Amino acid sequence: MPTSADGTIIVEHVWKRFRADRGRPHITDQLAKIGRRLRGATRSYRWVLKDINLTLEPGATLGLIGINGSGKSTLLKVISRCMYQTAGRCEIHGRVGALLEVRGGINPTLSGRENIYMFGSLLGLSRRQINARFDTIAEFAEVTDAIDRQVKYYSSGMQVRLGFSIASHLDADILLVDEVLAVGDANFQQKCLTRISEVVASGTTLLFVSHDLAAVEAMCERAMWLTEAIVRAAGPTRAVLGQYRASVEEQAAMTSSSTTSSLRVLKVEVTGPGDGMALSGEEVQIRLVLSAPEGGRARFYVGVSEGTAVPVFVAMHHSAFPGGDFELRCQLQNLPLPKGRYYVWLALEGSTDLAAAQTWKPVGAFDVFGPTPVPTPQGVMVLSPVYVPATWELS
Amino acid sequence: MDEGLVITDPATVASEPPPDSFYSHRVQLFPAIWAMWARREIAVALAERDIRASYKQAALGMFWALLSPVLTVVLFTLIFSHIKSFKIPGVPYILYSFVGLMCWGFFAGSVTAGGNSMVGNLTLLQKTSFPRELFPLSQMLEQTLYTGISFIPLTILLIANGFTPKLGTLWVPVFIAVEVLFGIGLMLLMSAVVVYVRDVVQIMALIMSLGLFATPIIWPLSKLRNITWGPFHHFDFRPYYSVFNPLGPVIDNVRRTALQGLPPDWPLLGLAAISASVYFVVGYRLFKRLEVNFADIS
Repeated sequence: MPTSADGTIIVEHVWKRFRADRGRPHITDQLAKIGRRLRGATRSYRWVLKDINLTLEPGATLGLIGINGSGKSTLLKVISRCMYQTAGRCEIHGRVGALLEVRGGINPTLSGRENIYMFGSLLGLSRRQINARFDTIAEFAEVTDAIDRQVKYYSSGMQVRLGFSIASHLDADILLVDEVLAVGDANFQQKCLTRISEVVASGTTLLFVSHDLAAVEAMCERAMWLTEAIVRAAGPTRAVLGQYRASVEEQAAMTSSSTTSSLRVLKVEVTGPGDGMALSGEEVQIRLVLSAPEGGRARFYVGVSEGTAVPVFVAMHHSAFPGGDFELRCQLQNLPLPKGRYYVWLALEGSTDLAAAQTWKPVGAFDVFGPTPVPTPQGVMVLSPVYVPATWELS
Repeated sequence: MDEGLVITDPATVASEPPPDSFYSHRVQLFPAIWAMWARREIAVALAERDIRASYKQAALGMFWALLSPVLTVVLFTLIFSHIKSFKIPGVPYILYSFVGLMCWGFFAGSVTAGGNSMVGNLTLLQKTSFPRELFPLSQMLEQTLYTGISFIPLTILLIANGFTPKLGTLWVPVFIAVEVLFGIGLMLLMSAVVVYVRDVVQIMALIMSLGLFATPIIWPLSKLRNITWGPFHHFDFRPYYSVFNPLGPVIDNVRRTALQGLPPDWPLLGLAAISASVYFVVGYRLFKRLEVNFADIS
């Protein structure tokens, strides 16, 4: 077998299961379990990872996306060797720095200084190595003034900053990041992303788990989408995210159509000038054909999103509508969207007894043609794609 | 734009992995010990964390570690020194029981704290990947410090009793090595089983409180030399006892050499050493075998 450089991750046909019949680890439960097995019942298992394949060269960046319970965190735990796979092969070269929930290694009764030494050595640094980076860590975490205070008297933001700061100054060959940016204020989030970019730029392999698709897009060249223990899609980040967004929209449509909403959406059409295609910066018409059981007054909200329930923008119209079929047209002056696939979401709100009231749900999809989204600097994320024509001058 | 995108149809994924691909966790004993030794700094860090954390908010701080063994031995001396057959010629009972209690305290403290160390560090267990046995071993380090503190009252007691040091004291590290081997074995065994069956925590506490009296601490091992009970007539129980509880001959030999100035009782100590090695190997191997599922279960 050829030896691989530090920072290489090779995961081949990895499967992982948990016991489905896990009782409490008490003697009564265990005895009952043994009794069942003696009577011939086989153990039941729940597969949380199925046939995962993944190869990362040193310095590669991979984003892991998927809904809760799809196996992302378990995969990280297998790669960090906290857990062992049930089947398959998992080869990790080099030191792994894992940021799996940053406050995990922080002890509240110890001071900030003691925690840096403590957490640092648990993550594999020697005392001398910690000495060398102590000031950098404290400065990055912005706790220099409070360094000798017990951590339980820190604000939760300070605690998170301290945890992230220690873990990200490890000089690991592989960095695993699991949903740590959900905490902390916007400033610190950006600081974290910048720090991770620096770490990656120095040749560290990055595995990044997040529900924040924008952050994944900003950090990772490639992405992997896990659903129900399997890899649904893997490849360049943008393409995988496109697949994922489309599925989230489908999911939402499915769940909302199963609810007993009396308003029916018969047709959704998004057209550009002269009934052509939708173009960035041009006039666009969203045409909805709806059917309500009875008339009334309502606020119509029409939103456009990238697939998730969080819209890029929303337009609202308050008006009366008849019972039966009717058509609602919404004219947008300058479509502020770059090239891509987008989704139309609709909600109706009125007085409480309104029969046609409807919660926020996707009703259709459309493509926009025009300039591709402007690339962002490494480690900087865009909240949602907006097309803004810009002219430049340099004097 | 979508170049390199691989989409998998969920229907094409098998429901079970091929049977020959199952992962088997085989860890050899010596490579495991070597890997643990390479990361020994972590055990020191864990022990340091626990010590700092537990005494940070106690007004008397580390003074407690000094106070509790002293109070225990005073109590024991008041109660048991009146029993004639527990006495040893030429050695004050308080010295005799204090040395026994120091050996026991180190052992019982390690096994109790070490046994609980896996379940006490569940969050770290889920987030770090260093050799798991460092958690219990850090507890033994901590107990080493506490036992070390007991040398202060011991020295005072020795001086107060006008005790002259014995040359045989030089053997003590050998006896302690046997105790450490036994302690690690039992500690690893307990800590691994506790993860699977929490009730063992209670069982462990029970065994330890019985063990204080079932081990020759307040009584001499020689009491087992000549037992007449049931089918036994003038039966020497000591060899059997030594195999079952290697701590017996360890404590006995510490006191023989360091307090009484007698030569070590090698045959019994040999038995204890063999038994302790078996405890060590069994405990360590079982621990490494069970560690596969530690993070899953916790």
